[in-house]
Amino acid sequence: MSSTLKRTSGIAAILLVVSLVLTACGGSGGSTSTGNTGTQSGQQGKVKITVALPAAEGDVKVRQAQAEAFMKENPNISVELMPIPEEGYDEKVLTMIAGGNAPDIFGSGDVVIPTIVKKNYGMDLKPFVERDGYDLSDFYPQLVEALTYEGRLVGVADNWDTQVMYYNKNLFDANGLSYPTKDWTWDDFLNAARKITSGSGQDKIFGAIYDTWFAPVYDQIWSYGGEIYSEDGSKCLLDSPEAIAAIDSIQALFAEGIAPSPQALQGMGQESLQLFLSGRVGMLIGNGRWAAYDLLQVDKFDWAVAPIPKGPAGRGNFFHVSIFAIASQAKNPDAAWEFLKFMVSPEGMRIAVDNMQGIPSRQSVANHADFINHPLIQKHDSLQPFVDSLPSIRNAPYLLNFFKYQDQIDVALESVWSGEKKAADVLPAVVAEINAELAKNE
Amino acid sequence: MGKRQSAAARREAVAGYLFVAPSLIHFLVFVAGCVVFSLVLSTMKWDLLTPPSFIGIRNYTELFHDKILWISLKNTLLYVLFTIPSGIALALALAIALNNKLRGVALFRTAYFIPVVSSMVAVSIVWRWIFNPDFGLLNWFLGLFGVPAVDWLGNKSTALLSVAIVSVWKGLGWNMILFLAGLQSIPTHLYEAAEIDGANGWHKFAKITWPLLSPTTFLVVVMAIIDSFQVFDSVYQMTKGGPELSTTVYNFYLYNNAFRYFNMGYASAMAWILFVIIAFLTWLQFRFLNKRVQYELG
Repeated sequence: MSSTLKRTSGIAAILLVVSLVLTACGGSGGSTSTGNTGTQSGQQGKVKITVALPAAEGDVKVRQAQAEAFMKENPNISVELMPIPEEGYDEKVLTMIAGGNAPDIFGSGDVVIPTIVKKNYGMDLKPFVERDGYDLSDFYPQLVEALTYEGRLVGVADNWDTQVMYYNKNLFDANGLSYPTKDWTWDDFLNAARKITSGSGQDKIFGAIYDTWFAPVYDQIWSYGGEIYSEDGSKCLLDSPEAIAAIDSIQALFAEGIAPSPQALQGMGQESLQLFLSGRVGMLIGNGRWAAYDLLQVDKFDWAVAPIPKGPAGRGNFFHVSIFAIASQAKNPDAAWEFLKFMVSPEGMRIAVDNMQGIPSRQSVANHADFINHPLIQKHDSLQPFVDSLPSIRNAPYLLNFFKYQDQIDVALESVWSGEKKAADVLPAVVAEINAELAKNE
Repeated sequence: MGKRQSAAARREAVAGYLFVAPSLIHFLVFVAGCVVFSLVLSTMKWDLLTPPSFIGIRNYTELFHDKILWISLKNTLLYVLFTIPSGIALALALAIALNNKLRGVALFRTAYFIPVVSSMVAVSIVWRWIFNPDFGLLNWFLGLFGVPAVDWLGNKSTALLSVAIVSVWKGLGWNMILFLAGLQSIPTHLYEAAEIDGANGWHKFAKITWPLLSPTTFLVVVMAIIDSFQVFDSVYQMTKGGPELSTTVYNFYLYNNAFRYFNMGYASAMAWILFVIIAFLTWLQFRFLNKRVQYELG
């Protein structure tokens, strides 16, 4: 029954032993050769680089196309993709690295950035940038800032994304409501949601769905003027009156029945996006631009994108960044850097542009006809609302052990979403626990 | 003469060692080595990436104050209670039923054994569908009797029970086979003699089957308890420990510490605590249950 765990821990243990042996024997094989361009890997021999990336179907296809175009231009470098299932992706990459079997390039997410730096398993890309005089000015400055941690350039990204609101135009029309704008407030959102909500049981139309994973919850806290962690990451601030009011405002949606609680969604056997796709929901909050591709298949109703509503303290938009970084133990860091440059070059991005999850990271590409003529933008307005959200972009909290604390927060909030408890009753205890652990790790 | 014999004996010994070598080496490298290593690790703080640092027994003292650890232990005990008595009683009943000379008995035995050899991932996906609150088979069936829909895996009062049901179902065939083997080693003349003396079905079970099956029952109980304490993959597949920690069993929390929070030392310490718990329970069973086991056939 527990064979999987036994096997996993067995493998891990082997990896550990192997890694200890390897680090003991091969300590001198470190790869800090930023200076010399790939000469160490031989005369006519091909340099091979491996790229670990999450096995999201569309994305792997795009990266494959980029790799092929790159190899055509650079016949002496071969790029091998290693798609890894999205579930447990970070774990797998870390064990590969710990096992001395690091890929040259690995994909990663925003919340992992501090771990990459603090545990030093990704290279600082600044020396490469300086060496090549690589021009970063075409990239959205907010993105470059998000990719920089403790003075290091942690990785590159060919797109960025943030939380937006998807809305069902047909339900807005049917209720005589005007479409959401970038100036919408939480009250506008509530009014529309109340108007749209109707019916009951299997046919109930919900005004909205508010997903309760961390990004949309953070957004609401920021929009109420609260913070999740202090800037230096030494304290959790979820028990502030602002944060509690923000959580209460989400809970109120569920209590009032204008949005289904996560428990209600589960009780319907539905994922939030599915329910929106079925046409029974006015507004959907909890997704970035990635959801737009699923929505493209809808023909039952018309939809579009708007920025999320403003709270009492304005707007806060979780900044989703998927990075590609070079592993510290990469065997061919220079060749890896060449491929990274290609991925984020205008040429490389154009290969990706039709499947680009977020907004292209280069402004020149984001404003280029190739991108703008896509039906997602022409028909569903999925560019401007993202750009409108840029001024209120917020980076992921930069702290180690992010998931450990988030797991604790999520467990506590479950009883809030179900209506069983109030935020003010559960959050202080969780915050105290997290702060105790944060203090210990200092 | 004696010399030749010893040469032959030596050859035989060498052959013997060669035969056991593959599994012995496997055991030493992949089991014993790792076990010792994990004991060392349990005294360290290690995140896989930076060098481990020695912290003595701090992992163990921290475990003691870890609220989630106690919750996971409670969940695991509940899970054991849910799975052991029912699982064993069902397996025994099935074994007795399938010990008869029925038409197509081999087919039934195979059918009940299929879950055992199926992958837990596949099984979990099927059961998630069965448990689906909206269109699941289970709610549809209960609906026929007017029972309102239950969100089996999403409700904190039913989630652990639901996971336990899947485990019982999956493990049934294995225990059934063990019981079948036990049943078939009971000589039929005992039943014949009992019948002549006018014993009914219940008497035969209580006076012959149950006592003579006791070595098998003992084995099944010991193995099943060890297995239940280590439940992991069904939880990982079906509930991810939720809702609200209600299915966070011991090994799931251990996994989280190791591979989600990258606290290898802490996870190793947890593994050793679990080892001590299981070893103690097994010792208890040998000490107190083993006495009631009858090994010799009348």
